[in-house]
Amino acid sequence: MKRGWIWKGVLILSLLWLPGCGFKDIDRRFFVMAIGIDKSNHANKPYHVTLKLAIPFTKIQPGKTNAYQLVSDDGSTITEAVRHMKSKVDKELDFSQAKIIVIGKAMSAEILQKGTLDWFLRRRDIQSAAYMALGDPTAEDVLNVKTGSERFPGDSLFLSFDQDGTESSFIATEYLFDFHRRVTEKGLDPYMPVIRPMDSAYLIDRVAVFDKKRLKAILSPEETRIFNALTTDFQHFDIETKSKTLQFAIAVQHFKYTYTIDPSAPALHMNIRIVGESEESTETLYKQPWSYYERLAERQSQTRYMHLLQKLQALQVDPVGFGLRYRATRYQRDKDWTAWEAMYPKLTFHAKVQIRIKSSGGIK
Amino acid sequence: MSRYFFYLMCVSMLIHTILFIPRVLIDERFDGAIPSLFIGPVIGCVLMVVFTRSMQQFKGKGLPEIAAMFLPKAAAVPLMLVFGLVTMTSGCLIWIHCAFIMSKYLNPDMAIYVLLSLFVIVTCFGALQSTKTVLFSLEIILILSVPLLLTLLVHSIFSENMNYDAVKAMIDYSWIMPSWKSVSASSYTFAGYIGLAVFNREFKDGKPIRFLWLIPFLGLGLMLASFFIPIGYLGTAGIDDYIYTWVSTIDAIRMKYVFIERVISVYLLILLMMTYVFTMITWHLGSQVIGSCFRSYDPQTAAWRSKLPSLVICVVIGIGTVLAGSRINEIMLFQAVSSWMIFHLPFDAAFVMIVFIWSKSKRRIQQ
Repeated sequence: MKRGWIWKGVLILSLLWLPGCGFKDIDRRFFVMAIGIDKSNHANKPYHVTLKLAIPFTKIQPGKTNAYQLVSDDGSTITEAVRHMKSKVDKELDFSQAKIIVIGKAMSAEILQKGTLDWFLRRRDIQSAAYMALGDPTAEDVLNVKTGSERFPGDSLFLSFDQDGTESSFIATEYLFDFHRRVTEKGLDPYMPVIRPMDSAYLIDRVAVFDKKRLKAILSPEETRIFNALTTDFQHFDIETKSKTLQFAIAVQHFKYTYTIDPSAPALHMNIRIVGESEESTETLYKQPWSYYERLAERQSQTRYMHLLQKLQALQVDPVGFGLRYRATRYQRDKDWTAWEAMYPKLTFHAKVQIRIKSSGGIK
Repeated sequence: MSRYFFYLMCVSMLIHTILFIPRVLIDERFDGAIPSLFIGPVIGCVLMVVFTRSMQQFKGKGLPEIAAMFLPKAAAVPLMLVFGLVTMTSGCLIWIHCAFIMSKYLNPDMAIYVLLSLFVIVTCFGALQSTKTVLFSLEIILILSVPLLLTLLVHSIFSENMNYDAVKAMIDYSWIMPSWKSVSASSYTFAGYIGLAVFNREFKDGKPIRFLWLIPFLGLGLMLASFFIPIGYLGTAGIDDYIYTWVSTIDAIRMKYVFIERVISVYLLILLMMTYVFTMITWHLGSQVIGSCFRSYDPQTAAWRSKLPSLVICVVIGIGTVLAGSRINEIMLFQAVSSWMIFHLPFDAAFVMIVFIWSKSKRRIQQ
């Protein structure tokens, strides 16, 4: 019994350790919701860092509780800018909720240099699963948007990128860890969605493709949808088909593609299988056998796929990962990679699209 | 009782596959880490089978009692000392490693020596329990944490962010002579059998352990997962930039429909529990084996006096851990880990051989 008290005493004494940790209370913290990096006008302080800080509310109401404070600063490194920013705010900056990183368009070349990405990966509190996006014209403009439907600052952006809220075929999603993987991997090139602010909303319908050194091009919305389907197996898009007499749209239910690379030709054979149902049509779809509409849609989407593949090839970028697949399916280590580098510009693409219409929707 | 043997093996497999081995193997991923994933289990399992068979010759006896049967005290004491210290050091290394991760990701405001001393105090209490209680707490903690860990593993295998092309690209590098370090590291996955040196006291029925053949497959599966999932997530080249491979991999996983979106916090807690239970086992082993050199030591009673040697040993090692942990930096830690990886395999093999020879000579004596 007596010994029991000794143990209890030791346990109680061990509580003395607890106040020793430098823990800051939640109302002494500023939660950073989004980080923006722009190019500044000063040559010796190239980074213009903007942070979107959430102002806490007791009760959440859409459109009312998304007040935020925007702080920004220039620095020769991101660290320096953030350090100096701490003197502008009254609470401790907490990055653990920062789910999106917006890079200004002018900064796009620098992001691929190791130094810029480095800060995000080295900081332990920034999650690797944070979203990456390119801000057009600047990251600060993107962060400075307040939408009417937000429950907390930055909420709309998060909802657009994880496929929880809107599921748009125009929105490409890119994560920080994936971006780093693509920057370093041979045969897989990085990309980023482009966010453009519009008075009190965002428009995210383009994607920027990079090679390992710089921004190569920004794809058009139409190309972005095809791009999304190829890179992320995005399932919920639709196919518009136009001919002289009719115009109809197919909502895709199932999408799958496979490809093989034939090094002797050199050629890439892609088989795309799509199952969907008609969503809109200018005429009744019971006039012709469905195979007629299917062939029509196939022919048109085939040219779209071919167009995108050839465009990516002309830009010498490979965001789909053809090169990595080539490395994965051949067994000669580095020789595969040099062979692929020589082969990719000469590659001819053969995309074969198979569309099956399951239903014409609610009416004929 | 054979399920307790499985727990011992499982805890060592899990702790090594998530903490040590990815780092060592991924550093050598282009220089023969993949064949070592297959050679390691062979070596590890041969040692495991030999050791368990030999220990089962001595029903309900721990290593100290067996050594006393065959060796004079002057030879047994240094042997026990070496064995105990080596086992406890592996626990220390893991605690320091875990404390580094915790202080970086979970509690950056706390000094590492405070963190480590809190960990060490709890581990000392755990290690001083009776052998049976240690086994029971091992079971409870494993049952609590393994399902969560498995969920994470399954989720990461089937996630669309896992790039299987990168995994396949690594297969090109499977016909390369592996280095000693990587073979030794991957055989370390199976080091849990060493626990039998003391826990054999509770294995009194002498029945052969069933389903022993399952262990190599379990270990191989875990090792393949722990090697290839980080590569699939972080890329064949990109993975080189990360230090704590698995922590970074888990950080890249987002589970939308689980109560915590950023699963890294769940993972770190599991890691903490696993590390605690592993260190508890190794320190229990070490303190029991070294404690047996003292006259007052008696595993049968729970009296204060008989536990004193073990307590002193745990406290000394604990203080050593805290001192070491607060003095070294990450580079030194990784160097220590990789030299440990080189050192442990010959040690384990020699130790298993000694016990094997004893079990043979016991049979000869009986005949």
